Amino acid sequence: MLEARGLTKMYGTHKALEDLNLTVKPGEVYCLLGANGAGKTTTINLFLSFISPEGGVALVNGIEAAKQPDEARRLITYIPENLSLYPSLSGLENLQFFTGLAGKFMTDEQLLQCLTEAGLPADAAKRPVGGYSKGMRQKVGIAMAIARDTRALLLDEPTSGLDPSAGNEFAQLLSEMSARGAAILMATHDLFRAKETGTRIGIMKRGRLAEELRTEDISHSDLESVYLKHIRE
Amino acid sequence: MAFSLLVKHELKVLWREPGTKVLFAVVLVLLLVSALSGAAYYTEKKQEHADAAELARHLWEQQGDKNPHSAAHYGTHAFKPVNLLAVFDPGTEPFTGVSLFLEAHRQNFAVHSPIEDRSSLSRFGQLTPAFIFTFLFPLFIIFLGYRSVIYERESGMLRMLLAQGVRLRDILTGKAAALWVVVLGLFLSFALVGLLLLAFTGAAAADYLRYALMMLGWMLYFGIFIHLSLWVSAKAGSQAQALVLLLGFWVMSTLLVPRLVTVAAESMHPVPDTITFQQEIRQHLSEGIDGHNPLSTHTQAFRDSVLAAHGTDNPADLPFNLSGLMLQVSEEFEKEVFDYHMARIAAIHAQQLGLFALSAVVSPTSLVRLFSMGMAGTDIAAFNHFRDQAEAYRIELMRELNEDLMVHAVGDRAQGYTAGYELFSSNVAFQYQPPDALSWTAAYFKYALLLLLWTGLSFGLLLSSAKKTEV
Repeated sequence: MLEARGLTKMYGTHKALEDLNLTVKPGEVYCLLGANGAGKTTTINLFLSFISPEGGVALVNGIEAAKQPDEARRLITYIPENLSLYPSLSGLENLQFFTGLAGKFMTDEQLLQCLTEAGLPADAAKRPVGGYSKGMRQKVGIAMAIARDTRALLLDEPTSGLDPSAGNEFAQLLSEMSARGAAILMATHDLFRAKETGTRIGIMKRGRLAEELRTEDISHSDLESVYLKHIRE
Repeated sequence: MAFSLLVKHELKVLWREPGTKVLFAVVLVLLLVSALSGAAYYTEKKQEHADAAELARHLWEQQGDKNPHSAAHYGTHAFKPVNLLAVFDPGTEPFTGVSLFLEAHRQNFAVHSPIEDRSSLSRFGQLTPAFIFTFLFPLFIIFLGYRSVIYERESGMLRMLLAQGVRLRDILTGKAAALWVVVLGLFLSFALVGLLLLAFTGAAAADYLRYALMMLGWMLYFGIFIHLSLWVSAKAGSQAQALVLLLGFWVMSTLLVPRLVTVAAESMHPVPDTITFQQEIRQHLSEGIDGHNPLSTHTQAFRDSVLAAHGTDNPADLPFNLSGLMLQVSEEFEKEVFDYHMARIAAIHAQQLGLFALSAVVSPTSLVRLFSMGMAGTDIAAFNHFRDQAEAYRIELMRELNEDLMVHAVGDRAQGYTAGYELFSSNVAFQYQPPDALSWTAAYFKYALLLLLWTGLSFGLLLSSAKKTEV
């Protein structure tokens, strides 16, 4: 579903991403780990075609993102670290707008159902988003993915700043999404959550994929050791 | 589908912003106040005009028995009709004056300009619809639009929108369309009130045409600010930068450029001062026949030529009154002299106006002012149209009086001849005929085209910012 082939990105003379190759299949949660500047967000931005690659291709269900950005984006739900929503609109109105833009037109009841599935109570869904916590906003993001029946989910440090309970709730929602067949690519610093939620983990270092692991093959402590080894090298 | 969704969404978000409703209400109240006060002013002035015109006519007809040339010096007034469309854009009317004194031998300048009755503070601008459209509407648009794109970029909202598979071009045009809806909603509400005003005051069909074109001109002007506000918002590095840039453009377009160009035009093409101008006219007049000075060489030469043509040296033998003829010939010569000097002034005004029109390259405000005043019939050209008709009327009136003298003051009636009510009431009263609406508006077509060009170019700029590929 999501595939990077020899993906390379330069910022001036700085190589932000070098020859990245990875594949995220439907039902898979692929977690990108790495220090700041390792290339995690750059990878996500290339799949969304917010930036253009100097080499290689980012494919979304076989569609080259750089060449057909709108088509590729319609298959993706994007949840950044701080999900931007219109503060004067309610969660329901935000969801209605964003899903409408993606070509999904649903009734208020259907949208409320999506929000409830994402863990947002109906009374909160009708209040202006300006009063939402970060966790509540992220739930609207998940509701977008549910409503759009999304094929691919790109998450850029979505649990950063969430309290442990909200983080855990969010991880459960991701598991449900992957169970529905979504391919999920998540950039994160959270080793624990990556091990718990992910099916595979890619450790990035200076724009390269330094190591790829299956979460079922590694323990929490081993993951931490491998990660720290790469970071300190 | 995405486009209409974006427009509806923009409108919803704009409407929910706390400042929008206040801004909307303030502008709406100002517009209504300006329209109502304009309408009241129009009604009052129309009545004053009718009363003054009636009084002038009464005084002319009832001036008593007197020599027709004395009546010519007694004179009368031509009043510029109160223009209904001046309610929307008074243009130069407060400065040009409202009446011309018509008398023998000379063309007078207009007197009794409304500005004379007001305090000096009123020169800074009256609360007319044109003032609101020129200065306040662009500010209203800037405040609604300056953060529209940059806020969404800074907050990450733009990425969220793009991530839904929406094109940046659709986002920008959707924002522009929403701003158009807000601005037109406000503007057309006012335009409707204006239309009712026209209907209730019995406006002519030409007034409707000119009113519609005037409103169209203003809409194009607003479009320029809508597109530029969004373009700057899309290109600026921060909200503060966008606001500063747009306010800078507003100051330049509405205040600085028109004022600087006016000063430059007056300096490059100066109008002679009144004393010099009158001296030049006096000098020129001394080169021709003077009906009041029998000792002037030119008058004597003319008198001798007329007597010689009739084979006599005694004016009493002529079948007409020689003084009457000399006064008429003198009047015709004086008209030529005044026409020549007035044309010089008009040419200077035209040069100044040409320079002002050039400023439209950097200031759409200059452009819309020229167009709006033209459509309202309140520019210098409209005043000149009135002045030319009043002058033609004066010449005809003088001819009728001189002819009466020539025909009737002959033989034993020559001495102490007087005319009375019968003659003065037979002189047709002055009636201003407004220009043909189509040919008049055609002269302003170039300004409408330039406004359209500005609007199109600003929209092109907005679309060009949609080509940015990285966000």
